[in-house]
Amino acid sequence: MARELAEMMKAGVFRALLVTFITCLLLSCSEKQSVDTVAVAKAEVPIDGAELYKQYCIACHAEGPGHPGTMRLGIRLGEDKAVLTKRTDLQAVYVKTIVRQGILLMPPFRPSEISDAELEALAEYLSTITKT
Amino acid sequence: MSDKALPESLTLEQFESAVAELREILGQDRVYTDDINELRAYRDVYATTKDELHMPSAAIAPESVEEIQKILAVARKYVVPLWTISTGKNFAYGGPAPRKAGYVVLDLKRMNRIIEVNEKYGYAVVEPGVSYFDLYNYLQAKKSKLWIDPAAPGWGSVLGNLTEHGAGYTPYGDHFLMNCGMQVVLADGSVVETGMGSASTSNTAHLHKYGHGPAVEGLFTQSNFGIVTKIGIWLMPEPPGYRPYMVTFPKEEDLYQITEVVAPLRLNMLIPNAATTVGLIWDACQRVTKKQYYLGKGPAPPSALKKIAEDLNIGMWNFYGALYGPPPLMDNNWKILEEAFRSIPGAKFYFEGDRPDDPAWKYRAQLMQGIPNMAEFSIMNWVGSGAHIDFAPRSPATGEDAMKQFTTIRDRAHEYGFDYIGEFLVGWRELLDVFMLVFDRTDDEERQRAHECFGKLIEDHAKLGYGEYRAHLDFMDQIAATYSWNDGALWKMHHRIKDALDPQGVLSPGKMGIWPESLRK
Ligand SMILES: Cc1cc2nc3c(=O)[nH]c(=O)nc-3n(C[C@H](O)[C@H](O)[C@H](O)COP(=O)(O)OP(=O)(O)OC[C@H]3O[C@@H](n4cnc5c(N)ncnc54)[C@H](O)[C@@H]3O)c2cc1C
Repeated sequence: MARELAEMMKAGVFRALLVTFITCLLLSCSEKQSVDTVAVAKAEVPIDGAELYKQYCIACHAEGPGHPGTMRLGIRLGEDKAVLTKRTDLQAVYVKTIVRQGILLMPPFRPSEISDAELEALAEYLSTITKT
Repeated sequence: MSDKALPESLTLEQFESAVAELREILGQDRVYTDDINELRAYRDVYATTKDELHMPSAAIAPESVEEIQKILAVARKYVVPLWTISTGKNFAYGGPAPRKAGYVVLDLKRMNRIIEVNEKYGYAVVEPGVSYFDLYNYLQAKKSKLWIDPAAPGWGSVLGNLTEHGAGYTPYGDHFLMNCGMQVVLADGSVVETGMGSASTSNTAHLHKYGHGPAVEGLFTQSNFGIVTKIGIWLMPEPPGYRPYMVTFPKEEDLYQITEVVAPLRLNMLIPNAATTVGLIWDACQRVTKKQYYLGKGPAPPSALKKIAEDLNIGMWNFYGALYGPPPLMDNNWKILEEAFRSIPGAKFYFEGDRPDDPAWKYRAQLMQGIPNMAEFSIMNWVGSGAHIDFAPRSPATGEDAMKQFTTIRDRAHEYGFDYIGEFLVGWRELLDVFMLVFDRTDDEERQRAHECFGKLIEDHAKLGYGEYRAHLDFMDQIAATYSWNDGALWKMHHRIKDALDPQGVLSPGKMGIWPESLRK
């Protein structure tokens, strides 16, 4: 993990996001992300974060065996943090970074697949699902 | 902007002019040039080489053939190399990344229409961006009685996988064999429909493969002669019955006998789907990691493998197959298969319900029934930050060839400190061998070692007379060079076709070792 982060930093990934990202990781902070951006995106196109989760994430991150993302998170962070939709510590900015940059075995998703507006909605969904 | 990768022959100003013209065609939203926020998602995160070698200068996402034609006009004007991808999930062979840094990725993910599903004749017509998940969900929603045939990763492209000669696990597993009808945009912007699709009154474009004159679809698979924008693909009608089964075998040497037993059953279609013999670690990765059994350096020792086999109740080799058809037919076929497998000492049989907690059984049973999933990516969990490239040679389907390939790969992998993680499939008459070279991608030294190991495997197999069917970006030239019969006559012909169809070399230069004249050494 540390090496992975180092690799991403070397590539300059976090120029914009570094401060928020590390704060989130260290504190597992749970404040809401910037709701404004999501609202703007939603006003233009109604995007359903839960649907996007089903479309792009669930195949690797659903509960139970046979889901490589769930398996990896269980190994790395413990079983209580293995299932994305049960996490209480996910920050929208973190979700967005991981989706665009990838992490460990997870390859990144391109803007042609998940647009920036969709990513906002997906990140909003994952960072608030356990709170609603 | 100074360290920005650029197309080889373009100045920054020329590149910016080209991008401005592309933005006029596609708008701001579908031209990506931001190295960090947009283009890092075009990396091959599983490569053994550095990201910089494959860093695109831009990516563009058209939504129609007309937009592709306009893009091509810009590409020809500035001589911009375009690297075509469909869903861009070609991991193990390069992911969405281009062959060389500076190319512009022509990303067809947003051309994702399912144009037709024909329930009566059993086919679909799809655009490049349609994934296995998309087509499966669509058919389910329509309550269709047609199956798809997914490759192991369900997020891949029905079209992109087919043009790569990819394979799945139902009886329709040889994807290119199931292709019927193709639409291609050539480098000069002209659009071609192949086969019956080009007859002016055609109603058999996706029923009859050949039509009048040469069958040219193959020219556009694993190639850079055109941009495939649509394909017809035959879909298997749901059979009246489906029974997956698994047979485990305790010893490494059993591979010889398994292959000898399976080959005639497959040839005669008593085993109608890709008959897959899966190695121990490949199967085990669904449930355990290397660290749970071995903390040392290098490959897991035999004692660890034995313990895994005991704990998980799996064999050194695990054969997965399925019966399809009316129950009496399946009953009869099974009698023959069971007797054949029982001739191998130590064979153990498992059926539906026998392995309720085994995700390896579950995902294999799904794949052989055309249900897409992503379970196989768990193989990357074997090591911490796992990545892999695939070595995929072909040989005759004999026990001797299987053992020769297995021992050659295993010994070479062990010499370089890697585990043997492989499977063997009897395609029809041939043996399809897949070795996943899994390494820790955050360890530069290990990445380099994996790279060297892979190069050696190509050399080893060339000496033994085996060729590979597909290649990672970094090894395309090396593998192309092994197809050298008659002074490299085949690649000379490829180059003549390339020069005729794409004289400026704007389409995917270097794909499979086919280079435009300006870039040939
Ligand atoms: C764990 C794992 C398991 C795998 N299992 C399998 C398996 O069971 N079977 C299998 O076949 N593969 C397998 N693969 C390899 C690979 O992931 C799949 O083949 C995948 O479907 C390829 O990606 P894609 O479909 O998104 O194609 P893309 O990445 O979109 O395309 C692949 C290549 O085809 C060419 N291409 C794509 N679209 C076009 C076009 N429209 N016109 C012209 N050329 C084009 C390009 O050169 C491109 O780089 C596996 C990989 C991994 C990591």
